[in-house]
Parts: sequence; C-alpha cells; structure tokens
Amino acid sequence: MAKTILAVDDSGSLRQMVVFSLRAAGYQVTEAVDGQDGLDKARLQGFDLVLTDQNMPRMDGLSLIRALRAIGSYQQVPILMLTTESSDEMKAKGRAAGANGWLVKPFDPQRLIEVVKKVIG
Amino acid sequence: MTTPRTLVAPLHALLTGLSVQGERHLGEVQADLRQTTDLLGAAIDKLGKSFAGIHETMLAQQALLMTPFDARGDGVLPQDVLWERLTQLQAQGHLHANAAMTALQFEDMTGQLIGRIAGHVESLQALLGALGGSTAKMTMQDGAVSESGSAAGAPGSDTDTDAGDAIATLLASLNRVLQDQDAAAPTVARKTVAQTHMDSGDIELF
Repeated sequence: MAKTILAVDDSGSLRQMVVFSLRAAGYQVTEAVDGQDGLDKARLQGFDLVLTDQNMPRMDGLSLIRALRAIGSYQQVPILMLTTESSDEMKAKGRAAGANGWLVKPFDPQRLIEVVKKVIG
Repeated sequence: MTTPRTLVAPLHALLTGLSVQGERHLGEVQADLRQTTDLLGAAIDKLGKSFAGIHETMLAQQALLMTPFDARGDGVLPQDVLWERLTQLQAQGHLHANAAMTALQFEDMTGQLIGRIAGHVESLQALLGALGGSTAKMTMQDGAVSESGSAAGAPGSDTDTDAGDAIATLLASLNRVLQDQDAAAPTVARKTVAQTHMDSGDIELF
C-alpha cells in the first residue's frame, strides 16, 4: 500500500510540483493550502509524513508542527519543513518545534524523493 | 510660550523621522525589486536551457527510434544497444525536467518578495496618509497657521503666539504619528526569502 504524505503550502504552483513529483514516485499525496487546513486534514486522517511550508496565512509551519506534536498519533510521524527560510535561527526553531528535517526551496524533485524515501521508505 | 527656537527640535525630529522611515521603506523596496529581478532572470535562463534540453532529447529519441526503419536491415542497431541509448536519453530528459521544475518555483519566491514590496509601499502610504491627515486639521489663514480657525496677527501679538503654539501642537502630533508608524514597521520588515539564484537549496535532516 502506498505511503501517504500531507503536503502543506499556500503556493498553488509549489504544491502542484510537490504533488507531481511525489505521486510520480508512487506516494499518495493530500494537499493543504495552509497550516490550519493541514491541521484539519491531519485530524481527519493519519499520514506517514507531513511536508510543510513555513510562511503561510492563518497558521504557519512552526505552529502546525507544534499542534501536530500535541496530537498523540502524530508524535512519531516525520515532519519535514520545505521553505524559503534558510537561517540557522529558523532551523533551530523548527527543530525545537519537532521538525525532523529542513529543505530549502527551490527543491530539486529527485532530491526531494530521495529524502522522502530515506525518511519513510 | 512657543518661540521659533522651541519649534526647532520637534521640526528636526519630524524631518529626520520622515527621512529615516521613508528611506528604510524605499531601500527595502529597492532591494526586493533587485532580488526579484535576479530570481526572474535566473529562472528564465534555467527554464530556457531546460526546455532546449528537453527538445534536444526528444529529437535524439525520435532519431534513434527511426533508425531501424531507415536502415532496413543493414546497420540496424542491436536491440540491447537501442535500449541502452533510449534509457540514457530518458535519464537525460528527467534531468532537464527536474531542472525546469526547480526553476518554476520562482513564482513562490518572487510572490513572497512582491508581497513584501506591497507591504512596504502600504506602510509608506499609511505614513504619508497619517501625516497628511494630521496636517489637514490645520488651516492656513492670513498667511499664518492656526488651529480651530483662530487667526494669526502681527509678530509678538497674542495671535502670533497662538499660531506658534498651534505649530508646536501639530509637530508633536506628527511626531506621534511617526512613532506609531515606526512601531508598526517590523511587521513587514522580516525577510523570508534570501535566495538570489534558482539552484536547489540545502537539505538537513535532524
């Protein structure tokens, strides 16, 4: 059975590329348009991996991670940040919030797939 | 009592504050526009090369697939060689497609930069609007400034003093507006995009 991924990004074009890349690699991907939408979808269904942007309206990526980590079933689920932010300060915040990795945009589809495979197989 | 000398300090503060805030907003706008231009240039360059690469790969695949039909017997490529070359071309095509998809992400980054530019322009507009709004409360009568319709008279007269007080009040009000706008500025100041090229970013697993 295909592994499931929740892709959270407010940029439609970026989501489209993430979804295209991951589906081509055999993953089942659900999209969310911001952190709040991601949290709502994560509450309805379990995912094997969450891939989230940082700067989004309504709820940002760090807040989403904190909210997910507060849900019992998401305490061990890998969460990767995919963001334009590249400062060490932001990475440290992400790590403290519970992120398992930090990918700086723009992403190369092949490298994204390699990382996802490494994390969830 | 307000004298021309006592007006110098608040006037200086007003002009300095206006200059500092104006330059800060416009400086950020200028930097973001330059960065947007760099990203767009890099994206277009990369997309152009990627699409040219995809096109060349397609032509090479087509030529390779046509070979057995043209040769009609002699010189036909053995099937294993044909498969190997096709596989190589497929991998080459994937590389070009991946590069194009990386470059296409310019929209996300330039979108954030343009949003930030809009934020600075709106802040500058709000600053000038607030200053204009405060100034509009004052009216010019008989060549001197007065508030609430009081008239200005000869130098040293009571009405001249009233006008001086009104200017002091106006300057204090404008300086407050500047301080309020300055306090609101950090909300648009944080920069979320540092990239100036379209090469793929770093990956770090914790």
